[in-house]
Amino acid sequence: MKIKLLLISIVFTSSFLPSPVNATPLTLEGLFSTWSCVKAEQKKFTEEQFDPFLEITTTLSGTLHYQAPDKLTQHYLSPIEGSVFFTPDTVRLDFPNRQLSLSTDSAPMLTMLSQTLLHLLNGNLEKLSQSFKLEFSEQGNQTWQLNLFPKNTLRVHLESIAILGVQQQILEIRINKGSGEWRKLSFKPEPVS
Amino acid sequence: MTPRFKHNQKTRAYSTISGIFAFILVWAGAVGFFNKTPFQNDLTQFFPNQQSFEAQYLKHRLSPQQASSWLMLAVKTNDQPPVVQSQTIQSTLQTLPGVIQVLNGSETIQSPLQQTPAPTLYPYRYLLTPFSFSEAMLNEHIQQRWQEYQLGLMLDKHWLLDDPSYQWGTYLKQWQSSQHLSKQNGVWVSELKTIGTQSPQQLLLLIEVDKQPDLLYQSLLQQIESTLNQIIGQSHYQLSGADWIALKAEQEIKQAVNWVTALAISMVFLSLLIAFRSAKLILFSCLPLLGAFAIATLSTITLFGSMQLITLALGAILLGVAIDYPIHTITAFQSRQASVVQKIWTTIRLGALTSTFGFLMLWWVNIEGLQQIAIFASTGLLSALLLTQSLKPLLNKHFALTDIPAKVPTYQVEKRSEQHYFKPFFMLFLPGLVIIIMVLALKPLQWQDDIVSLSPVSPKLIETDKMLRSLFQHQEAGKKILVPASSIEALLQKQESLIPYLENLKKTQFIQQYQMLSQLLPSLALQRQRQQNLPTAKQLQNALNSATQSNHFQARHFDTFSKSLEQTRQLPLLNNDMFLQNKWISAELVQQHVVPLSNQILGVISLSGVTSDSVIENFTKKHAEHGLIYFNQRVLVANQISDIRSQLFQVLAILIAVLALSLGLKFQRVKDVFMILTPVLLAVGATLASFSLLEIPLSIFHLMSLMLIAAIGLDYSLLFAQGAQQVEHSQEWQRSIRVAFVTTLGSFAMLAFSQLALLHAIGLTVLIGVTWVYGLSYLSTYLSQEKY
Repeated sequence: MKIKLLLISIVFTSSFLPSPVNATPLTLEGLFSTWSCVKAEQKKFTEEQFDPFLEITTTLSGTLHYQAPDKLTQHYLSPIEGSVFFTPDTVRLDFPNRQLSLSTDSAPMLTMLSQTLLHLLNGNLEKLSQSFKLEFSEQGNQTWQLNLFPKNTLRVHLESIAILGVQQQILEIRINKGSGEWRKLSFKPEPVS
Repeated sequence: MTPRFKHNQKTRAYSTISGIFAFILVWAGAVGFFNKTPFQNDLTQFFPNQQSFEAQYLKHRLSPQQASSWLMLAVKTNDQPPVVQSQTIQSTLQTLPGVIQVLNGSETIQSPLQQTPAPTLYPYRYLLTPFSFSEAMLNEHIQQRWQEYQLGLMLDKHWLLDDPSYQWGTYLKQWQSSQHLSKQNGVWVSELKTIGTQSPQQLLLLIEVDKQPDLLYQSLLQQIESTLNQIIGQSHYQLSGADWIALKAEQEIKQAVNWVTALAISMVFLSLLIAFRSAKLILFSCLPLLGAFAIATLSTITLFGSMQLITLALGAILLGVAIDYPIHTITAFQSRQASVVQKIWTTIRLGALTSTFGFLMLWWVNIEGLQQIAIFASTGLLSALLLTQSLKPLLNKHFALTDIPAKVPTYQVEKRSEQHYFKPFFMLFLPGLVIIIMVLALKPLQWQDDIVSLSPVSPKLIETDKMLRSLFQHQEAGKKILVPASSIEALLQKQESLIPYLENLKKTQFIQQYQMLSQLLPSLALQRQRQQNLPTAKQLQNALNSATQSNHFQARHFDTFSKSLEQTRQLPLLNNDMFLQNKWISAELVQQHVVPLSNQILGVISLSGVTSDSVIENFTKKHAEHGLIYFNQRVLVANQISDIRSQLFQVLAILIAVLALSLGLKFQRVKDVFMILTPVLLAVGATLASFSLLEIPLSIFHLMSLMLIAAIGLDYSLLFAQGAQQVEHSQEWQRSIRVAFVTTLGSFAMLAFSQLALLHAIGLTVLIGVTWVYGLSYLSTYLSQEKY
């Protein structure tokens, strides 16, 4: 359950990155530099999950709230209303009839991933590179793909994270688990302001 | 007497004393070698050995016999988020060896399928919990599981499919007694508002520690304390629990006894220095005291196997009595007249033997704690007397006693009987008696009947424990329903038959919660019934088809669930032996629910949030066919203390009768016995009247101290009366009593200032009582000597 929550979190967090401002040449450093300037923002998301064991696909949706430097809340609207709160040391769930708080001691893997998530939001490329091998490639027409491959113990649960985007905006995030389970988060591209 | 004879006598005296102390040292060595825990603090040793179920349960409940124990910890919140602070404390404490677990409310139920080995009770989940199978019930559960699955909130997908009705989780919740505590961010916190006051929020944690052998256990508790001091700070947390209190009480008693003993010894030394002005005489005075204390302690440990700390605390009292014997003897020797020594010694011996016999009367109160005090006090007093006697040859040499004929006609050393009895009777005894009766009639004595009055624990520790119990909502720890039964199966069936009525008590808010064994282990009869009511494969398949219509689950996903139900149908029923053999079961928790008695067992239904004792009383009467007993610890303890009190009054009466008989045998005249004993009796009455006027509630320790007053008072009264009859050297007698009075007053005043209720009670009682007995004996003698 914990890893699943984390995957959801990463997907949602990544989708939370800022909208494009202009069409400057795309580099990994440039993207992270832009993301590090974000102080607070809110976005809608839709997520698909696939479970190969039960052969079930499910869909979820909600909004994500970020407050720099270390507060992130995922608020689910469908199929059930509830929230997941992230800080560097804890992950807290608040759903009807289900409240749970997980810390570094009780769930070290989850909190480690929670920290990864916040490094991404903070645009902290250096810290993220310590845990993941990053592969960035431009796809043409201002689109790009960033693949994250875990270097540490996360490899046991997580195969890779693929982030697709246009300019500084993220369009889709897919998290692949070793078991064949995946989750895909989709965003509608927003017009350039 | 030749110088050579005197020298031999002196050498023999030194040899005797050295021999006694060498014997004490060997004895102490042997006790220390064979007994690693000579001192204990078990309150139940002071409870009457009654045979009623409640009394037996109370003793069981208060005995320190569990394999592990729980500590309650409340911590003031700091700048950190509560969850972070709570979990930092939890993880730090968990690293200490001997700490079994630290709970802070964040614990989640683990998937039984991910545990190695899997819990052996897991296959029994459909027999251990109610499983009322129906299509609607299964539909509701599977719908709930579907919601959890969608959000990824399930602990283990395989567990969800194997146990969709969450029977195992339901069973585990029965074991957890702290479900009701408030949580913030998933960890336990105190309610913001406590009774009547606004108090800061506190984090709550429960620590389970392994009860290792005494010394290791004490060091573990001290390690927990020092760790908390380091990571939180001494003033930022509160810790309590039965064993914690026991440890702290033991430390406090030892500290208080050391402190009081040191001060009392200083007072005694000072008084002796002023009176005797000789280091050698002070040493002679102290030897009987030291020897008496050691012999009393060793005798008690040897006879009982160990000694209660309360009994040890009484050791300080011995200081005040045992020191009197060498004081009176030395004062007599200061007259340098063998006749005076001979006369005073006879009086001292009479007083000491009657006191010893009087204290020995406590043996007949059938309470081990009081029996220990009987042995301790009587062996101590007797040893002090014998040691004082063995000092006499040395004192003889020191004072170069004037020889007088061995047989001195009484008329040469004593005045003829010229005492007046009417004057003291009409001017002192009668008005005194009337005043005492009036005071006690107008302002009756108040009694302390709660368990606190028996406890040697300081009010501060009790207050902390009370507060923590309130925070952890454990206020009603002393209210239970006891269910006697011939076997476990009979007990479980009785308890199961009570469930609807107990639920009704909950519903009508007469109780908040109840806990009993049948919630953890259903009777064989109920298990059999549940086994028979399990759905057939066809019924289950139909229900699963229906329940998976409105979600993406499919009936085939629940194949393991179907197999589990089939396996349950084949399982042998879980009996008590199989249940207890399970390593997963907490033996301590089972012990809380069942108490084995000699020929039957006693089931315990723990109640919390009892709002009306009379309703529970009626409940037990209504179900009289089950032999239910309402165990209300407060009421029971009050009754038991009342019983002890009656017994102590009886012992006091016997003590006074023994004193009267001894005096009668000695003096052969009722008038003499009357003149000696009446000031003592009046002093006891006046002490009680003083407590009545001061509005101080009396505990059994106050009553025990009255016996001490009788013992000390008898010595004073005897010495005053006998001294007044001396033709010469009557000032030596007066001086002897004065020195003894001042040393007694000094040492017991130290006790009266102690923070420990027990020492305070004894100190204050003796302080007041000895003052009365000194004053009354003096006045009585003075009035009897005055001419009309």
